[in-house]
Amino acid sequence: MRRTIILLSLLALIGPFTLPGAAGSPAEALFSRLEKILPEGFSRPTPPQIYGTADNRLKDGSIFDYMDGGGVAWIEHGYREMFHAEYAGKNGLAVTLDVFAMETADKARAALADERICPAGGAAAPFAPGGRVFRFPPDYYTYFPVKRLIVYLHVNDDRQGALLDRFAADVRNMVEEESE
Amino acid sequence: MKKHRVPFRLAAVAALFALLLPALGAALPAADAQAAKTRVVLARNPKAIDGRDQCNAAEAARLFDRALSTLTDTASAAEAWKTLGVVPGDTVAIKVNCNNWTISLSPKPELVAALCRSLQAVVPAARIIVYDNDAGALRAAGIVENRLAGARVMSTAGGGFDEGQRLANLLVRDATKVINLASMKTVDEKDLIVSLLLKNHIGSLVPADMPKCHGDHDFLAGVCARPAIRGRTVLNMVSGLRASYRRGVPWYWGGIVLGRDPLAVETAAIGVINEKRKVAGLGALPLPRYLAIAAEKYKLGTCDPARIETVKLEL
Repeated sequence: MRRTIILLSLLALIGPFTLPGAAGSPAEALFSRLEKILPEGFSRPTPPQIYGTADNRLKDGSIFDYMDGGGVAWIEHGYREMFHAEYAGKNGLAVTLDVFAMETADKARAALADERICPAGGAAAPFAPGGRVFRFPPDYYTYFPVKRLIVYLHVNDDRQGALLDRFAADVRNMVEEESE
Repeated sequence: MKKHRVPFRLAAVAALFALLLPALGAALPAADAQAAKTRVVLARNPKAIDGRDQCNAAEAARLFDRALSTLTDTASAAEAWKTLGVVPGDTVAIKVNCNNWTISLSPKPELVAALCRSLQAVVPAARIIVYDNDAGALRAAGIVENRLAGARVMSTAGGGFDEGQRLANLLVRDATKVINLASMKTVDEKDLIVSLLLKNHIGSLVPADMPKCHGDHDFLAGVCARPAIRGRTVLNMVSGLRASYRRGVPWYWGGIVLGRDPLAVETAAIGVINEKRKVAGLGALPLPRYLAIAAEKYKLGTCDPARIETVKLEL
C-alpha cells in the first residue's frame, strides 16, 4: 500500500511534464539553443513559440495555429515540429525566424521544391547551399535547408537584406552543429 | 344603360393593353436580364500605394469613395449606405484578414479607416467593429483603434462564440450588418487556390472548426450561409492594393473589388489575379469548387460571368 502511494505521488509529480506540450519535442535541444541567438541590435519582445502537428500539439499548438491552412503543404512533406521567433529592431524593423523540422533530409529538400512552400525564382542564397532569397520590396526573405531542417527568415525592410544574410549565416552554423 | 358603361370602359382598356403588350413584352426580357445582373466594381488608383507598400490615406479614401458611389449609383456616402440597407441604429462588423505569414497582405489601415469614415455618414464610430480572430495579427497589421477613425477593434476570442451558429458572438449577438473585407491572396493550396471572401470568414468561426474548411468545400461554402453572415452582409470587398498572384509573390495592383454578391466579387477578383498571372506567363487559376457549391447549394450569389456586370474605374 505504502509503495503504491509513493508511486502515485511520483506519478503526480512527473505527470505534468509528460503531457503534450509540456514534454520536450524531439528537436528540443536545438530549439533551446536557438532561443539564445538574436540578430545584431535586436531584442525579442515575446517568447519563442513551438508548434507541432494536429495530432501532436506542442507548447503553442499545431502548425495550423501558426499559419492556418498553409500548414497542409508542410504536413504533406513530413513536417514534424517548428520553432518560431520574432525580433524587434530600431524604427519598426522586424525579423522573423522559423525553423521547421521535417522527417528526413530528402523530405526537407522535396518541401523546398514545392511552390506551395517556397516560391519559384528568387536568387541563390549566398550563405547556404540549396537556399533561395526573395526580394519583394519592402520584404526580403529566404528559405534554406540544413539536413532535415528548413530555415525561413524574413525582414520587413529589404534594404536590410545584408543584416538578414548575416543572421541567416549564424542560424545556419548553429543548426548545422546541432544536426551533427 | 348605365350598367353597360363600366364593362365597355374595361373592355377598351383591355384592348389598349392587348395592343401595347407585344411592345412591352419585347422590352421586358432585356430589362429583366439587366436587372438580374449583379454589379461588381473593379477600381484602381495607383496613387493609393507605392512600390514599398506605403499607403496614401487620401488616395485610398478617394478610391473607396468613388468605388462605393459607382456600386450604388449614389452621390454621397449617406445615400450609398442607405441603398445598401445600413440604418442609423445598426452595429456594423467588418471582418478583415490579418494573417501575415509570410509577406503581409493584410488590409491597409488607411483603407479600413476610409471605410469606417464613410460608414460614419450613417452609423456612429462606436457602432463600427473591425475584427479578426487573432489580436496579435490585428496589431501587427496596424489595425488598431487610434488608426481607424474611431472604430472599435476586436478579436473573436474576446467576446466568445455562439454555440448555435458556431460563430463569434460579436457577429451573432452584436452586429446587425456585416462587411466582408478580404485581401487579394493566392495561396496555391491544392483545395483552396485563393484566400478571398469565403475563406475570410474562417476567422469568424469557433477555432475548433477552422481546420474543417481545408479539404471540405461544402463546409467552407456553408459558413457564409449561416444566418448571421448571410442575412446581414451588406458589402463584400477585396483589397488588392498589394495582392499576391502566386504564393509568397506579391504585386501592387493598387485597387479594390467590391459588390453586394460575394461570389460575383470573388469571381471578379480571381479574374484580376489571372490577368496578372497571364502577364507573368503562368496558367490561369480555376474557380475553386466551393464557389459552385455556394452558388448552387447555398444560393449565395453567382459566379457566372454572364450574370455579372463589371464596372472598371481607373483613378
